[in-house]
Amino acid sequence: MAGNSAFELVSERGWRRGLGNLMGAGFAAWFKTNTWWTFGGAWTAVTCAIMAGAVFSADDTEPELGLLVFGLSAGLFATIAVVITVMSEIVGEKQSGTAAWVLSKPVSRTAFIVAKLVPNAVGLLVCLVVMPGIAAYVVLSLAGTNLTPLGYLAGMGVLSLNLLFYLTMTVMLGALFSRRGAVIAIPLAFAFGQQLLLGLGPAVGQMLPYTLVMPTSDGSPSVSAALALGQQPDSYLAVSLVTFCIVVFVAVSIWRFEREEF
Amino acid sequence: MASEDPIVIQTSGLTKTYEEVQALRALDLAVRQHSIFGFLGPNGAGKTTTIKLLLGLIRPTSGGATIFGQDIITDSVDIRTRVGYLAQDPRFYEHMTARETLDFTARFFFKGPKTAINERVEEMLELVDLAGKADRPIKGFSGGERQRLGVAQAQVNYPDLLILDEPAASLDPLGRHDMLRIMERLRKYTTVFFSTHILDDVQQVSDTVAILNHGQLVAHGSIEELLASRGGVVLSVTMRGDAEKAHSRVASQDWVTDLQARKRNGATTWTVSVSDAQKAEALLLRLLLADESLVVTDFGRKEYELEEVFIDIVEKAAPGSDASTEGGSHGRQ
Repeated sequence: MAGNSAFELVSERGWRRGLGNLMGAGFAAWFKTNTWWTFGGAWTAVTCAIMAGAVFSADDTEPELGLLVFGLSAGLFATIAVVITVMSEIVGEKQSGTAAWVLSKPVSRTAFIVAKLVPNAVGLLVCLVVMPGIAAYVVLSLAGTNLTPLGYLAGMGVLSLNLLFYLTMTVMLGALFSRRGAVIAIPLAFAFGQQLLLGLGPAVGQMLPYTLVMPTSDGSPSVSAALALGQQPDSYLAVSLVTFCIVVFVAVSIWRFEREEF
Repeated sequence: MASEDPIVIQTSGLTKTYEEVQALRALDLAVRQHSIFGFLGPNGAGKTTTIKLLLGLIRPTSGGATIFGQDIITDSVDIRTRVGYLAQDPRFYEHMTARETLDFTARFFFKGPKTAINERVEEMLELVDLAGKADRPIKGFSGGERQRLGVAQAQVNYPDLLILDEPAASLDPLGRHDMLRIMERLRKYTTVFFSTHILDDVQQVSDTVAILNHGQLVAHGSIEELLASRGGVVLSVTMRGDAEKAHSRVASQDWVTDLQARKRNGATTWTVSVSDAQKAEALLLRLLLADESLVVTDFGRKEYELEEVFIDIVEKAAPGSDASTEGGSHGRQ
């Protein structure tokens, strides 16, 4: 590269090659535009309005009610937002040809996948968990719900884990498939179809990501709600399994994308 | 380019098969430094497949290649630090502006300083005449503007090797002209490897060409070598009048190896392949003028264009053709 002596060359090597630039672009798409505050603000406003309506209108408010509404919003409906947002990240770039363009530069394929995961994970968690989570804490506190800050934080962590499960699953499906249909249908079918599996018994229920955010059929609070209320969840099995799945999904995404042909 | 210049691209038995289809068959190619290497072939010949293999976008089924002496599979990322690439149909992030796209591209190579990167981006925008549209989102760009942006992003790192896949395909005549001038200007700094259908462009700027057909290399050498590979001398004569009688008289001469006649606008043009140029040039015109009804309006040796050589080679190498796939003197280097 004659004529480049005025420049400081990129020093990243191996799988990190190109990561800094791609991450910068990924974070800029979230936080140097109005995306994060419009998306996060709207989601927070809707979530808190529904929560406030539920907790302040009930004569004898149970503490779980507000957390149930929040779980529905940040745990279940947020999966739709996650899947739709992330759906195009891999499969869309494969179809449009921008992935091939980026990969014609000195960029590792692992860096490409990581740069899709990290900025989107941060952006989505800020908009779907952190912003509404802070607002929900205020609403629930005003409604007299007895929350412990550390427990509430742990509950938010579990909600985040649930969203990361769907985010990594969608990225993996984007790496595996070339059509958007499968990439959007499978995670959403799984997210909303788990209720059918709950009928198979409590042992099955304790393994599903559903129990992280929604109460089980026997009326026990979700793992996130139990933690937020300072209670001991029935089981941490789902937390372990979901964490394991996230790792597997990321590994499969990278493995498959390394073999993708453009 | 001189024969002692180091080899930049070397492929060895490079093969790519998609299920049942052999997109590229055992390609052996050598591209020397500072050459403008024209990579020709009809649609589906395997040109883009070769380029994608070189860039690591797809993996070879067998065989291999090196660029700057580095392996295209194991050292792909390192190779790409020294390469600029323009795709056949360049795609960029639609929401980005031209300036943002070039800045984004530059940052795959350079960490800083910011002022130097900005200067390089400005230089590239000026080079492709996009300075006036630098801050408009790409989604509003025409095909030609995207192509010019593609040229700019391919050069933003001052690459040692520029790989261009059909660089002039969607450019207007002026754009094409500019493109060729840019390639010529870059010759002393870089090696240019470009695929194209536009044979006139190749003849204008390339010093070496390779012709690919059905995934197979059918010719590889300098333009002069390819043009000379037609073999023998061909004379062209255009006349008015009834050429039928003269046809049999000329065709029966022992120095005539082939005679093709073509009628156009009331005139007849013969393309006469001969084995003895001296004899032919001395006798052909006399044989024709012996017939007083004929008026010869043009006579001389036929100058071949690359396009004719290309069509000839590709047709000879077509599946089912008796001709060898390695035609005439089209020796591999």
